[in-house]
Amino acid sequence: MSELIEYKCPCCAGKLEFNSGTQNMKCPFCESEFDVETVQKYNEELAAASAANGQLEASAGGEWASGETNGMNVYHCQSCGAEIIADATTGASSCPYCDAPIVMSGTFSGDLKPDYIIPFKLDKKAAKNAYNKHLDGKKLLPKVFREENHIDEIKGVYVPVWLFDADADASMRYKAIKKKRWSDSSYNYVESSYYSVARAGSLSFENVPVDGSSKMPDDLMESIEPFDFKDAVEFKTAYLSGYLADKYDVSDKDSLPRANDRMKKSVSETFRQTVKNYDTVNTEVENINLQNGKVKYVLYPVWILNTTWQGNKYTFAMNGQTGRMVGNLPADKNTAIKYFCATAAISTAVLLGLSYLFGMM
Amino acid sequence: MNVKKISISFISALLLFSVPLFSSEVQCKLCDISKSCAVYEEDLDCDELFEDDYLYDDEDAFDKVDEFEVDEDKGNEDSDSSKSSKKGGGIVVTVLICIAIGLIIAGVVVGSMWAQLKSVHQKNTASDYKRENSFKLNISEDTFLRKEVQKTKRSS
Repeated sequence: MSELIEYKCPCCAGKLEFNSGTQNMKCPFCESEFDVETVQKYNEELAAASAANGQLEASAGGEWASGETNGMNVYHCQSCGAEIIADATTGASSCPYCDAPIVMSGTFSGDLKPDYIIPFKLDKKAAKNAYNKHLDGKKLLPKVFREENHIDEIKGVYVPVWLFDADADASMRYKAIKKKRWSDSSYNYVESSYYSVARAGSLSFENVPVDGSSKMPDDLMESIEPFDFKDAVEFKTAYLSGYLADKYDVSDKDSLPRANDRMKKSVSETFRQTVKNYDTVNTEVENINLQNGKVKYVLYPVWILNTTWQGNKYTFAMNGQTGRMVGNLPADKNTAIKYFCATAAISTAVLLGLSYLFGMM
Repeated sequence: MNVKKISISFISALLLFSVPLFSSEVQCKLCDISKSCAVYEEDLDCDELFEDDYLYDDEDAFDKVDEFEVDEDKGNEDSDSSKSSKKGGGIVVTVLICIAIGLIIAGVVVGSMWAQLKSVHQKNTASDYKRENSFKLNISEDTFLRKEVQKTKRSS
């Protein structure tokens, strides 16, 4: 199928037409005329500039080769709507996100093929140990919670993630104040010196992850970062054997704002750290431009455990590469009150004793 | 975790040992207040006893001395009771301060235990994903604008 090429007028952005009389490109709206080479160059520059500010150069993911998806099944969760891919040998029975039973809805096909995968480095035993260690030492954790857990239901899931690369150009301006204080017998003096601080430069980012599954909470996925991309390999379906894989349902375009936000905040922080030796620094102007954006579609290994306790759902996740385990735990209010009263009583007693020793009483 | 524990212990120790200092300052202020309110017995001028021009009866003089001694005793009793009330007030203040700091320490300790249960946090930056050695600072200019001096009178 042939594509229609359009050239924009540099003056009014209207569609230019070739004028056979003058042999130039003419804008029918503002009647400006340009030679063909100039117009071509302008439009190439325009296309390059639109790649800035987080525009992606190319789409991520590839196409499946024929026969590659043989033996891969799609499981559908009737409770939360998650769609999980697993190979025929895995035999998935419950949803890794909500623990409800899942049913096989068909064989997997379509969708993008991941570019890379970081294979699981830690097995289920390591995941269970990490979970138990996560519960240790938590004095306010209800004992019943620890006893009632169903740790064997911990599942290894490959979470779909979009990885973004970008180059940032930044130009910042700050208002900074240096203060000097001194006194004489009659007065206190404060000398404030005001400065205008300018910083400009560049910074590059690679593999900034944003999870592509709406079922996986973003803050949970960000809490188990970072993942080391050095261990990533080209995707092969064999890596999925024995594990589940989530299908992406958040596109790279929808994930881009989150990645941009994180990169911009990092740039802002990095440049702010170069302003030193001032008592007060306020940002006046912040101009951050992201360009040369690239995206990759990758599967990241995560061990997930869902637990419901007293009507509340608790999700635990462990980075399948580094072993970092996170998950909010419930607190026993009665234990907290007991600790509070005991600590207050002991501290007060010690303080009263010290006061007596120092002769205050 | 260790850094958290160390900082909590440091804050608790700081609060613990600030009580005697704080308590002594409060007591000094109480003393100042009581001094400004006290009625001091002036040094008795013995000539007052001998105001009269005539030679008075020795008995009268001794009566006056007795009156003076009674007044002196009364004055001593008054100063003793004011001292004990000051001491009582100081103890109450110290106890209240100890209780308040004890509650703060308990709050800090239990607060840190509660915070241990929360491990899920959003990451706002991408600092782990900066490309190595990619940071370039092309412009770094600090321009002086102006100076201001503020002068405030010292309280004596």
